[in-house]
Amino acid sequence: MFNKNGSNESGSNDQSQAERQRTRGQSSNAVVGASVHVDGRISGEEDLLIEGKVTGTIEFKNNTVTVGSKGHIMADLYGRHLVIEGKVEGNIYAAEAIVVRKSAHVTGRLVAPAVSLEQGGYFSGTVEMDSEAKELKASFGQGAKAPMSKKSEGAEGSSVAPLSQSTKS
Amino acid sequence: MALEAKAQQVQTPLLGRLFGGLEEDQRLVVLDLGLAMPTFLEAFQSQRLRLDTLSLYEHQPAFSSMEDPQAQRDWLSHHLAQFQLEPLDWVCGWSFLNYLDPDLLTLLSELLQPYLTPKTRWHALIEYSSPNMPSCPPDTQLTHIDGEVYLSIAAQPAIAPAPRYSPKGLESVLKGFATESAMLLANGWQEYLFRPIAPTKD
Repeated sequence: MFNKNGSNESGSNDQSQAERQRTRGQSSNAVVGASVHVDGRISGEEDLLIEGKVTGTIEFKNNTVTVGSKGHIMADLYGRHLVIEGKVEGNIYAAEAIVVRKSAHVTGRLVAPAVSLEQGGYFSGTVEMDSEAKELKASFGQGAKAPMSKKSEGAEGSSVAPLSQSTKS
Repeated sequence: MALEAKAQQVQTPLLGRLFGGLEEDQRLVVLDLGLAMPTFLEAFQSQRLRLDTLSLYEHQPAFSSMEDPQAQRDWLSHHLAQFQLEPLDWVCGWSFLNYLDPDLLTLLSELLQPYLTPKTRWHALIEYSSPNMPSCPPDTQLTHIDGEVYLSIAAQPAIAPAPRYSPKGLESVLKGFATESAMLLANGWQEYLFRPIAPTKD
């Protein structure tokens, strides 16, 4: 199940995705710093960390985009894997998954094959959790897909079993 | 996910009936009158889901501040239009349903009519046995245990009067809906399933 992976990746300790990216010193990551305000369209082919303010469109369709706890975007956001720790107002599209962390405040539309929300994270709007969603096909072609673990993993470590299990038990 | 230590966990058979009726590849369209619940999304990780969260309790002050019924209708119509709703499978109104203005619920049920199908079901939970309830909606989480569906409701002091709607009372508020089933739960809450009387969609 996706969110189990998501939790293992980042949810079980207090270090956020943004903090890990900073402490790793990943040279391949682009960073929009806290003092930066971008108004327009940004795109690229590397992972992106946003701690500043972005208005417009963000397209990193093959990469992970993290909106850090200081980040604030009012934009349409496209990425392969999206992690939200800050404030987002807009439409968010991920080819694989969206993770809304407990520090996040999100209003808008989330479209991805898998979406998880941490306890304490605020979300108001629409979740479209569907790898067949028209918007995903239009944005990513056949690149949109459910994580392999989504179908193959059970509910171990989670309080809620996926429906395919719960309805058959 | 660890549930709150003092939360009440109660089995919700009617919600379990809804879950049990789902087909594996079905795309489910759900309108939640509250905010998105982490455990609700977790339950659908292997399912295709559209979930719209209206956050009505949060927006209720704006509704209540308007005295003109037409202004209230316009406001809620505009709020709903932002979601570009599809025909609904489920409408979920859980702990916070006790806290919503009956006029708001009536108006909502009227405005939802174009999105109802014969299969649409409105699932509701109401404080029933106790005359009092917490001053604000308690946090509610969804849990599956051995194939059954439970809701875990955070325990809070009950200091506000509870509406304690009867099935007929709720029907009078939820215009266009009729009670399909009602069950008194172990925690004193009443669980309801409503069906549309005259759905407009096939």
